[in-house]
Amino acid sequence: MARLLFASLAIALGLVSPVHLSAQDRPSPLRVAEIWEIPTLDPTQDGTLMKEKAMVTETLVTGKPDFTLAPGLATSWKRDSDTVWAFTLRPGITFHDGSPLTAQAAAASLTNALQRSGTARSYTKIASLAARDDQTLEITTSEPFPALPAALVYASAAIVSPASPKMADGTIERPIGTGPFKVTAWQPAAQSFTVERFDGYWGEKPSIPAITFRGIPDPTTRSLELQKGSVDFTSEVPYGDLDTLAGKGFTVSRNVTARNYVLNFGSLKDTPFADIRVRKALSLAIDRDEIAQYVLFGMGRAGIGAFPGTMAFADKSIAAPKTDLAAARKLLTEAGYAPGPGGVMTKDGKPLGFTLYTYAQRPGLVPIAGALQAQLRKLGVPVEIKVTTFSAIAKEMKPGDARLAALASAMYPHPDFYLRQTYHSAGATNTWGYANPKIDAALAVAITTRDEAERKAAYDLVQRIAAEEEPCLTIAHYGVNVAMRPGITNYSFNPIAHDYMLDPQMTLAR
Amino acid sequence: MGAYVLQRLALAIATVLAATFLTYVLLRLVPGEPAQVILTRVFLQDQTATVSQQDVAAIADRFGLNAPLIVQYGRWLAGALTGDLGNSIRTGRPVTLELGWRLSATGLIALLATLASLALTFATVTLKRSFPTRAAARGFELLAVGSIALPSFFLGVVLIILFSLRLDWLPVSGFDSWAHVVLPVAVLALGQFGFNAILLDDTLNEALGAQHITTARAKGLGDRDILLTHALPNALIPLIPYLALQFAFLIGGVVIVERLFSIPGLGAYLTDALDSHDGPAFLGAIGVIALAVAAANLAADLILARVDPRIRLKRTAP
Repeated sequence: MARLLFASLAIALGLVSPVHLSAQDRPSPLRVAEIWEIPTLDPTQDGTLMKEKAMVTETLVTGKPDFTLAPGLATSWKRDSDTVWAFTLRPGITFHDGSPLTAQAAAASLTNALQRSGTARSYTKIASLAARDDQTLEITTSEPFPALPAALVYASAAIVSPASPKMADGTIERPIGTGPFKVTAWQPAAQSFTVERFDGYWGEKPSIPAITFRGIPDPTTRSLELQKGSVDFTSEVPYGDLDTLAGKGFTVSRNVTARNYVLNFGSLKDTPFADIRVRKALSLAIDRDEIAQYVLFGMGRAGIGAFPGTMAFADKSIAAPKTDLAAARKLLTEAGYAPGPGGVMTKDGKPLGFTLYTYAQRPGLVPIAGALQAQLRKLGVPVEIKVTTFSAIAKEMKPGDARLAALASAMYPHPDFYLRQTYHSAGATNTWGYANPKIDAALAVAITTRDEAERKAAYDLVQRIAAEEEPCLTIAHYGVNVAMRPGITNYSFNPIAHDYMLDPQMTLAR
Repeated sequence: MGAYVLQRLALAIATVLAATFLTYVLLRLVPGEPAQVILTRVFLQDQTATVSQQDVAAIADRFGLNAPLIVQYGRWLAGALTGDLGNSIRTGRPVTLELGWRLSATGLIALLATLASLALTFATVTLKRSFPTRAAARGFELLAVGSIALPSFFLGVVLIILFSLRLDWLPVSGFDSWAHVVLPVAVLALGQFGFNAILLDDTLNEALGAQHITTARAKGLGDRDILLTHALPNALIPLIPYLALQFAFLIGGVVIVERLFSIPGLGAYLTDALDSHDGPAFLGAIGVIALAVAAANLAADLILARVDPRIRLKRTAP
């Protein structure tokens, strides 16, 4: 504590001044305002920052904008048995430190990632790793898992050089990757780091010489920095600012990503929501188009299915029904409800109403909750909104309540992840106790069959049953905005991004 | 005086110990076994994940969670006394190092904001008293109440638009140079001076109404001398503990301003540590804030005792 006391004394005396960064006057780096704080560059802790944003690390397999797979550091892979896979590495790849990418290095990197990142371990289900030869990596999963190549797209499973500098507890201080950019400066105290073009990159070399990242967690501040001209590229600015920015000449794009706005009930057992007619009535009373267009300012897409039609594995026959209050009332009448005092739908003296819990971290949630409240009021269903934190909802919410959340629908580009955790009777997210033997059976077929067509049919069936029975109500697919200063060209948004992605081919004119 | 200082010092130490111990206990009150909570929330980021007992045991071992609570706290305290607050779970860096970075930012901003708010307080009160008109009184009231009522995020955005975007004098956010410090300090100072000004104006009125002022006037002292030597010292006494509290509040509670201006400060560190269940970081931050509050109060008490003999005499009486 003596040292701490000295620290506070030093401050009181004004001895400590702000951190001065040595301004790097290299030719026009792209200045990016990152949307979170930047506490660490460890790819096993926050993989998306190093892979999708900074383009420092790469994964064995990559994902295309339609969520199909493409070769990454591995050029091909084959499944030797139910649980054993062989990945052939791309030849001639070197890490930023000049050392070659070998199967041994990849195995060491993944072993470390599995040790440090529980998500990497639970997503990939990898049991063991071995190098068959310099270019062939053998992966054994703990159970038959056809989604392994897709799971390896997950950013925390990126391959870094075993020589990457580490801290005492094993945290990677500065990742040495294989990507088109390498980390050249890192000021943790200032939440900022710089990457520069890696001349030994195996693919097409980027035209941008360098990129600086600074963590700016406040959306308003990011928008102001962009307008000031001190930032070139950012994401997730306030929805209401988008038209203003576009009017001032900034390039603004609204994109759909793999995340769903979902309303789920506390429980489907012994609550009014156990009755499918009640769920369908509520769903029919919701005007999803109005929400997407006017509440989200176009930041998102109305949808009822698990995946937006832009994803390859979406069942495109599923369409969101038109809002139909009359049909909704009819369903509620069939379920035994009648207008009671104040027009509130009532059954056996009990009004149909609930508390809708949500949280403010995602900008669309609270406005959507307000819109749902107004739309369901027309049906005679009173909704009370409570805004708290995500973890507090789980503790407070009662079986008869509901939660509005933004749930990631593809942490890696495969339908199994979201369908299983949301709709399987033992799914991790399915705390509301939905159970449909048909869905469980279809998911069992999908994960064991080696016939791609059968697998696709099974996943489509799950999507259709889910859209028909609506155990939880999908309201819209999440929208992410990207705003750039004029002069940045060749940028295309890859919806596989967890927040946003940079594009190695972007060009920058001053 | 010596006994009084010792008594105050003991109280300050007790405050810090109580705050950190309570935080330690509260952190453990999260439902579920602590090791399991750390594993599922921090490492798996999935509270519903199924975990093996082996993994849970490894975490319990790594963070020393098997000993009784009081022993665990004792270990933490012993480490803290030697400047070792453990490593942040999120970043792997020593918490002491990270707190040093954060405290240097927040401490500087808090100090400057306190000084600036004091300057604003004296300036407005002086102006009001130099022009004893009804309009000046109204203007003073408007300024002071506006200062208290305006939310800092709103004022901050207005100042950024005016000084960064329109006039192009100052940067929007960050913490790289003295120019970056101007706006956040201004927002904090503008938000704080109102209360101080009203307080000082009131206490000055009271001090000037005292009998010894009449005596001073009767013996022929000028207004200026009366104000500076007889009224002001008395009027400042209630302001001192309030300033200390304000400074302590600035150290611990300026999350909104830190977020808006992207200052890597202590408030943002505390909330981030809580959000990501980074126990060592959170506890360290609480310890520093408790220390700042205790130190500011101690400083205020000692200054008061120095300028006001009534306090040191009364409080040390048996």
